[in-house]
Order: sequence, then structure tokens, then C-alpha cells
Amino acid sequence: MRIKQISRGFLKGLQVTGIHLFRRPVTHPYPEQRAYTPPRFRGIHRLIVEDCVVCRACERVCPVNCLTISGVRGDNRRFILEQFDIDYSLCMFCDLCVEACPPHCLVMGPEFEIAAENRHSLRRSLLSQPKEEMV
Amino acid sequence: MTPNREEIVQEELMLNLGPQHPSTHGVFRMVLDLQGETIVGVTPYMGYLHRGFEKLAERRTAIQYQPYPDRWDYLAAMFDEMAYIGAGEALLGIQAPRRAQVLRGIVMELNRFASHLLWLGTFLLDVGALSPFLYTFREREMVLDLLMELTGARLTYAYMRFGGVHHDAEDVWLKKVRAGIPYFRQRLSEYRTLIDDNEIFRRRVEHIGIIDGTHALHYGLSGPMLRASGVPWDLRWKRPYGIYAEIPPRIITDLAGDTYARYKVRVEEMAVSLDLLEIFLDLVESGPIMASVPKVVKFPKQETYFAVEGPRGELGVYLVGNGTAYAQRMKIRPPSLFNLQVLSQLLIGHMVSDAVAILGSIDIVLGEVDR
Amino acid sequence: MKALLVALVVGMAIPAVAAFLLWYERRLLARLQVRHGPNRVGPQGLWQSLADIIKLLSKADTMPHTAHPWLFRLAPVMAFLPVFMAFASLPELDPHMNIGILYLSAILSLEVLAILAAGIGSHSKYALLGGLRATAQMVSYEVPLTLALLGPAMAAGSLNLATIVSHQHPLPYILTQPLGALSLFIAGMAEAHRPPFDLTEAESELVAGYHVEYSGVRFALFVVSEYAQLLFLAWLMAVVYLGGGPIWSLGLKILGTVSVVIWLRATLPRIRADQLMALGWKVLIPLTSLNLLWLVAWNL
Repeated sequence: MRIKQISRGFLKGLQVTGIHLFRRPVTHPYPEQRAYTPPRFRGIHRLIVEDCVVCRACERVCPVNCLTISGVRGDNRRFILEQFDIDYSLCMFCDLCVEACPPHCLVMGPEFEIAAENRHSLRRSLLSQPKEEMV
Repeated sequence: MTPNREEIVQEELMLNLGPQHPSTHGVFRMVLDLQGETIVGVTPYMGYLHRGFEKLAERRTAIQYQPYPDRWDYLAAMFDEMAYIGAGEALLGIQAPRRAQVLRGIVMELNRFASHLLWLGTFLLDVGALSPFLYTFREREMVLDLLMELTGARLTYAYMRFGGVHHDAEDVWLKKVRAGIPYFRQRLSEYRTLIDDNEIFRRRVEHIGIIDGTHALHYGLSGPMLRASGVPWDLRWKRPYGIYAEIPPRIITDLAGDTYARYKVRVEEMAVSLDLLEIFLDLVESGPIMASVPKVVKFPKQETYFAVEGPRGELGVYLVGNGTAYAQRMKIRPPSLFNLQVLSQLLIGHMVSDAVAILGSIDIVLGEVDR
Repeated sequence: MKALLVALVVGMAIPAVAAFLLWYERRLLARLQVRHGPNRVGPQGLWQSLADIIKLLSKADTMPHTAHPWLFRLAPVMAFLPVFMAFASLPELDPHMNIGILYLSAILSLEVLAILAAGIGSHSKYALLGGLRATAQMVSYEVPLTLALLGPAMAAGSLNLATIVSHQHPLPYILTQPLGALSLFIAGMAEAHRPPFDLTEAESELVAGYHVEYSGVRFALFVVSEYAQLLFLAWLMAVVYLGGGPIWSLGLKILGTVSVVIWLRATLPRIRADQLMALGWKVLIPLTSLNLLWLVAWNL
């Protein structure tokens, strides 16, 4: 009786793992297959430079002070952005800056690969982003 | 010539387990005194992952601190957010609108399911079974994908806000969650066939690490640890918060108090989480997701304690305001830390292999223990 | 001269087959766990083991400065040699060895010395615990292993493995002595430290057990000897209980046995040290003794 129970337990377990042999692997070979990033994914920031009014709401709300912003007043009393740096060694992708932005010109994109060779290159300027990336 | 038994010098072997050990779930360290393979003394050391989150609450404004609770217990971040946001809402006197309450319930139960899935996999890895780890991670990944679609991040959601939630859930997303539930149920029963009747597993976990209900209460245990010792205590229904007040109680208990009982309680709680998800999905109604909250949140000069039932137990936040945007003091009651206190009691007299299994059954997250 | 040449060729071939088994296990285990497994080096990741070996060979040679220099250096070689020597008893390699079973059980029991040497020589507590566990385990499982081998030897009336194979026509011994076959399988898994009996190198408890301090070439020697032992025991199983046969059927039988071992690895949790002892002494030895009694009763 006991032997029957034990062996049934083992056989049922073997059956479960055996079935998995015929299931498709669920892991993705990474560099060939991209990771899944839904539309709301919080990756590297993107800035629509023309809309930015240099109000610095994002800089103020940032819990880790990773934003550096400066601008000059232009001819028609509008501020022109001179510098918009994010230090990605500090940034924790919390979305608070995006939430705080009054003209909604700061968004977060789908890129997540920010590995760099040194700390300095983790400091990125959002002004020099290539245009085609900004969709 | 063989020496007499008395002549053999016997010494206790001091074995340092951790902080870099595959099954201490992070950077927990314990020093075991061994006689042969039997444990006669345990000295736990913690604090390797201390990051000062309580102090940070005094140096960040209430709004700025919102993403930080995610980092306490990174496996069940929604509960940490709920604890902090709930405490803040109690101080500010804000009530989240109903749709936000229901959404909070949904994400919390999803998160509880994901957290228990990870626990199940790593616990079985501690006991020595390799495959369930991969299987539970497959399902956990689906849950995390769902949460990522809603909140934008896999683990550090930053989803809850004072007075509501950050993102609204589309109907498509709600449908996805509903469609996932039968699949998860099926997988859950598959795990149970793989694990439950396995003789080796049963012999590894039954009758080890026993703690009875009285002692469990005295040690301040909570969550599945306490319920596995036969105490029907679940904050979701004993001190209801949010939407849980409307749900009929489903408290899982087990009388044995051993490692197997803790396993059973957690696995059954996963089924309960799925049931609750279905109930919550039926409760979703349209409406706003944010109450009207002042632009600058200032905690009044009051204090409050707000606790939620996390996957590991009672997760509480004690918050003192001082009339500014900063908190005067914040204290976290991390369930893992309190559950870990009992470890040295549970381990004495067991073997090294059992030590790993018992530690696994406590379900610690070092980010929460050390904060 | 010819024997020497054969020995040389076999000695060269066994690490290659062991490396293949390593790849096969990783691949099959991955598929059982809905993963891909190694798939980068070569077709289907076939050269992964080769790449690993090259990597291990090119690593710096490290030794803990508190380790016992001789024991530490000797242990991998001592683990390596007995397994290779045991292959000499197999009927495909030497059909005329009349003391086959006696020889291989004697040689295989030398393996425990290597693990003990690694455990003590490393001067690490994890290694020591692993070594002690291994010693208890291997000494205990020698008995059921030998008893399980005794059944076919008695049935065939010879210790020569070739004779045992030739006696298995038409029925292989697994059908006439199922208890013995089961015991040999379990005891063999325990001898080769296959999961669920891998508590000598239990990752979640002892990190890596007796080879926790080893790296580079010495670690490679341990791994190769472990897989060579797996190959040997699967081969022994195929010869003694599954009826041997021509090379293709033998190969299939070996691969089948190894696959079952891997399948069990994917399914079962690890057994505890005292339960392992109980299984050996209270279950396997009675089972094998029963097998012998059954054999005697059958022949009366």
C-alpha cells in the first residue's frame, strides 16, 4: 500500500517533468530577441526639446537629484534650453519627473540598455538625442 | 588500538553560512555550531543590505518618497507602497476613489501571487529540486509582464499615489488578467502534483522547524508563518483596509506548524489570491482613479500606524508628521525581520540540510529585513 | 602492445564521451525545465563542453594557502584514475577478465579516498562536511552495489562480465531480477553522486561540497571523473542487467539509462544525509538480499 503510494508520487512527478520536455522553451535568446517592453515601459527618457519651457519641475521633484537643467531667456521672452543632463548612475526610473512635467514634453522610452564603460558616460544629455529615435 | 569513547576529543564545528551562500536568499549570514551535522547553536547576523530607508523618509518630501517603498521588499513592492501610501492617506485624511481601491486590490493580489511563486521556486531549490524553480519563474514572468504593462516596471512599480493610483487600467488589461487566471490555476495544480506526493520532499519538510501557535504569537510572527501554526490571523480581514472590507474572509490555516504546513498555507494562499482576483475584477467600475490631492503634500502633526497583510506577514508603517512635507520619523515593521527572529529556535537539533529548508520556509527578503 | 594501444585510445576517448554526456545532460535538463540550454558554441551548442574545458585549462591555478599541498594536489588525480581503471573490466574492452565484478567493485571503492583527500586537504569546512558525507555515503552504498552485482554473477556462474552478457539470451536479467536491477540503479546513482543523492556537493547547503576550493584543471578533472563514472555505471547497468548487445544497442541502452538519470534529477528534491543512510541500509540491502534469495529459490 505504502509502496504503491510512494511510487505513484514519483511517477506523477516524472510525468509532470516529462511533459515539459515537449513544451517550447520559454526563455528568449536575448540579443537576437528583444525583451518585451510595453508602451508604458519606463526606460531612458526622451525630451521634446521645442516644448520644454525650462520650468525645472522635474529637477525639483527628482528624489535623487540626477537632473541638471539650464536655459537662457530668448528674444521672445521664451526660455531656450541649454543643458538637459540626466545622470543615469543615479536615476531610479521612478517616473516622478514625467508626472511633474507641465507641458508633458518629458517621456520615458523603451530602451533599457544603459551599460557603459565608466561612470562619466552614464551622464547623458537629452538634447543630443537623434531625431528619429524620438517617436 | 582503538581509543575509548571518552578519549576522543569532540569539538563543535563552527560553520559560517553566508553572507555569500546560495541559499541564504541574499546577504543573510548565520553562524552555525555543529556537532557532526546536528545544529546546536545559531547566531544570525543581518544588516548587510541596510540602506537607511527609514532615515530617507525624513530627507525626502512625501511625494519624492513615493518610489522608495518599492525598494524595501523588492519582491512584493505593491504592499510596501500600499503601507506607505495608506499611512500617508490616514494622516492626510484622503480617501482613494473606488476604482483606485479596486485596482490596488488587483495589483496587490497579483503581486502576492508573484511573490509566492518566487518563494515556491526558491524553497524547492533549497530542498534540492531544480525544475519547479524554472516553472514558477515562467508563471511569475507572466504576472510581471502584466504588472509591467500596467505600471511600466517589472519590480519597482511606483504605482500608488496619495489618493489613488498612477495609471488607469484599460479594459484590455483587465481582460488579460481575467484570461490568465484559469491558466495560473492549472499550473498551480500541476506544481502540486509534482511536489505534494513526492516522498523525498515530504520527508525533507515534514516535522522539521515546528513552532506552535502560542510561541508563534510570542515571537511576533505574522503572515503564513503564523497561520501555519494554527492562528487565524490575516490583516486583510481582521483589520480590513481598502476594498478588502467588502470581501468575505478566506483565511487559510494549518495546525501542524512545521515546514510542510508553511508550504501548504502559502500554496493555498496562491489559490485564494486567484479567487480574490476574480472577485476584484467583477468589482471594477468606471470612475476617477485619483482623489483631489493638494499639490504639495504636507503631513499634519499627527502620528499613525498603518499595516497591510503582505505576502510575508504584517507590513506596517508608523508615520509621524510635523507639519512639513517631510516626515518627522518613519518606522517600518518588516514582517521578514520579525519572522526571522524565530530562526535560532527552529534550527536547534536539526541538520544542516534542514537549516536551509527551514530558512527557505520562513521566506525572508533581505531588502526588507535590513531596509 | 596491442592492449597498451587500446588502453591509450580508450583513455583518450573517455573524456570526450564524458564531455558529450555533460553537454547532453545540460541540454536535456534545460529542455525538461523549458529552457534552451547551451546553444551558442557549435551546432546546438555541442562544443560547449569543449569550450568549458579550454576555459578551465587556461585558468590560473589557485590553491588556498592553508590547504594541505599534497592531498589537495593528489585528490583530483585520485578521483580520475580509479574510474578510468574500472573501464578495463567492461566486456567490450576486455572480454577475458575473469575477475570482472570483483575488480570493478574493488577499484570503485578507491574513489572515496579521493573525495576524502579533497575534503580534508582543502582546509575548508564546507569541503570537510562534503567529504565526510561522501565517505559515509560511498562506504554504505558499496554494499548494495556489490550485492546487486552478485545476483547476475550468481545467475551466470561467473564474475566475467562477458559471460554474464552471454547468459542474458533470450531474457535480460532486468526481467528475471527486477529488484537487483532497481537496486543497482539506485546504488549506482548514489555512488556517482547523481541528484537526488548529490548531498556531497549539495549546492544549496554546502555550496559545492568537496570541490568547493578547486578551480581550473583540477576542477575539470573532478567533473570529467564524475561524468566518466556516470558513463561507467550506465554502461555497467546496460551490460549486467540490460543484456549488452552490439555497439549500437549498447549505446542506446547507455543513453537511455543516462536520460532516466537526468530525468530523475529534474524531478526529485535532494535526500537528507540520515535518510540516505536509512535508504541504503534499511531498503537497498534487504532488497538486494531478497533478490539473491529469490535467485536461489528459482534455481532450486
